[in-house]
Amino acid sequence: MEEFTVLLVDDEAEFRELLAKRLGKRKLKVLTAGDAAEALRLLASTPVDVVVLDVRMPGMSGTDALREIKARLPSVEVLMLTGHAQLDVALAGMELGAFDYLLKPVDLDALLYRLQDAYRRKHLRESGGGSDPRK
Amino acid sequence: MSTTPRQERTLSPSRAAPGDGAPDATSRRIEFASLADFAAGIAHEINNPLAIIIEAAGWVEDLLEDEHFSTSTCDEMQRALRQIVTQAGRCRDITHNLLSFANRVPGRVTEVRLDQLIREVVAGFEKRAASRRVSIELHLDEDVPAQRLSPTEIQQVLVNLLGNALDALESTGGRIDVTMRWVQGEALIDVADDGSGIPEAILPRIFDPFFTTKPVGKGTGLGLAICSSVMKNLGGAISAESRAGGGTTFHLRLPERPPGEAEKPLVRASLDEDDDGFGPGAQPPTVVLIADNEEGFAEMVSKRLARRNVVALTASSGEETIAQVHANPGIDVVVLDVKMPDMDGPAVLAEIKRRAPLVEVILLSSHTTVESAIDGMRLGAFDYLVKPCELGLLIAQIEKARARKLKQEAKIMEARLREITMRRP
Ligand SMILES: Nc1ncnc2c1ncn2[C@@H]1O[C@H](COP(=O)(O)OP(=O)(O)OP(=O)(O)O)[C@@H](O)[C@H]1O
Ligand SMILES: [Mg+2]
Repeated sequence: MEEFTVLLVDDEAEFRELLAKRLGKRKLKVLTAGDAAEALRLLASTPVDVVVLDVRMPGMSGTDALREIKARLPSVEVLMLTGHAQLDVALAGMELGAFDYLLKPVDLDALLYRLQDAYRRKHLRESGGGSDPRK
Repeated sequence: MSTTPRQERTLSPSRAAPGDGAPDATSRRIEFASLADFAAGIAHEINNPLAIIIEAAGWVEDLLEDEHFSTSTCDEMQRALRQIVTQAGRCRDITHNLLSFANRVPGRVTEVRLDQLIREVVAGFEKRAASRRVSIELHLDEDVPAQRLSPTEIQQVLVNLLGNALDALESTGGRIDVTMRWVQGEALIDVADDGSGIPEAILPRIFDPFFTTKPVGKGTGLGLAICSSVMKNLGGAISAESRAGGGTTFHLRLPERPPGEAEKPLVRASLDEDDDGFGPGAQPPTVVLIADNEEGFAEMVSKRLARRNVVALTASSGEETIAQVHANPGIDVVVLDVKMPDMDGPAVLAEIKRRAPLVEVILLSSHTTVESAIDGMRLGAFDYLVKPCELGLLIAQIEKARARKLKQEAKIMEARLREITMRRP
């Protein structure tokens, strides 16, 4: 599997760190941020391929953060983590250009697959290919 | 601490009462848009710690795949396990809060001197208050007559209010005043702090379940909802008053509940610790039968007990429990979940007691099955514990139960010996 960079955005430090370690062990480069503002700061200075965004955080709402990321860095793919009761938020996110959403608690393998798909789409798009791995 | 509600963590009540938004309209009843909203709120609160538990367990699995362990790997694993315990505790806090919210835990009604009760609760907060430079002042009218109520309920209300006041004073320090007066057959208790106050915009929502402005892990937002439900059950009321920047006062109103004739207290076996003569290692092992149909639970408990000179057997149905007790005369103590798939707990207990009267039985119940546990106490159970319970507590009860059994056995032996010696010419 190719190495690519993931940014995890979640307000629960414990969750963020554990998930970062586990993805790191699977040969991904992982950055973390505790809120949307920190994520945007990081994105401005470091190249990132895929953002994993918890849509329910204090401060800026998940959808606002998503809109902001997509506006500043349209090529970055965003995977949303949502709760079960937030399908409306998930769907709004898809309209805003999120790659996909996963329900929290998330299965690590499912997350890995989606991350790879998201990265592949970004890669294809950047190299001029047109196919969408979601199809 | 910010006063903006956590994003999307709150549930909106279905109807706004007329006059809502006015600072004095806050003692209204809790209402939900729907049961679905309530369920979603709970699921939400539990999912976060759950997600951490899953990742922590997964991380331990990842680490176990490594060929060789260094001490740092062990440290990592220990940290992950600690995290699992902590986060499971968070889940437990939520379920416990929910259960007391549903008021399923029957508190024992006794004669309560409210001034004493307040002093006790406040004493419990002394340390926390001092470390935050908060002073707690009491102004308690000593003439308030004793009331018949369950002290745990009113304690819970005070604990929540004092906890909130301390949180409000966390960064600034300050003072809390607890006042009690007796006015026309009602106890009026005020808990006032001089913290930053509650903004008018959120004041009408503070009694809503899951409404909180505190960071994740610090507040469940159930505290005031519980207070409101408890006060309502007692026929009283709670309301809040707050001036922006000028502190917050919670008013409790408790109508008179005069002492009647004393109710017979629930009989709980007690044992003088001094003469139990029971120490780990010195004795043959205690044999315990864990009867619980959640297999994971029985297995986990028996594994941990094995390290403490306790041999644990397991059974997963009522019938199996009875058969085991019958087949193993060495069993000292049965730990019995009152909810078995085939028979109800009290029936299993009665059968055990019929066949082996000396075997002690400790009941495990959930909050919803506490009634059966109480029935069980009447049928001669040694004690009951509410799940999830601390393993340490369970072990302590097992040891006490075993000690009581030994004592009973000794008594019977003595009686028999006496009988024999008396019969001698
Ligand atoms: N004394 C107070 N001063 C300022 N704000 C308060 C005070 N008491 C309650 N509040 C506000 O009301 C909200 C709800 O309180 P409640 O006790 O129901 O939940 P919580 O304290 O956030 O969480 P929990 O009690 O479950 O730990 C608090 O988050 C806080 O914003
Ligand atoms: Mg509280």
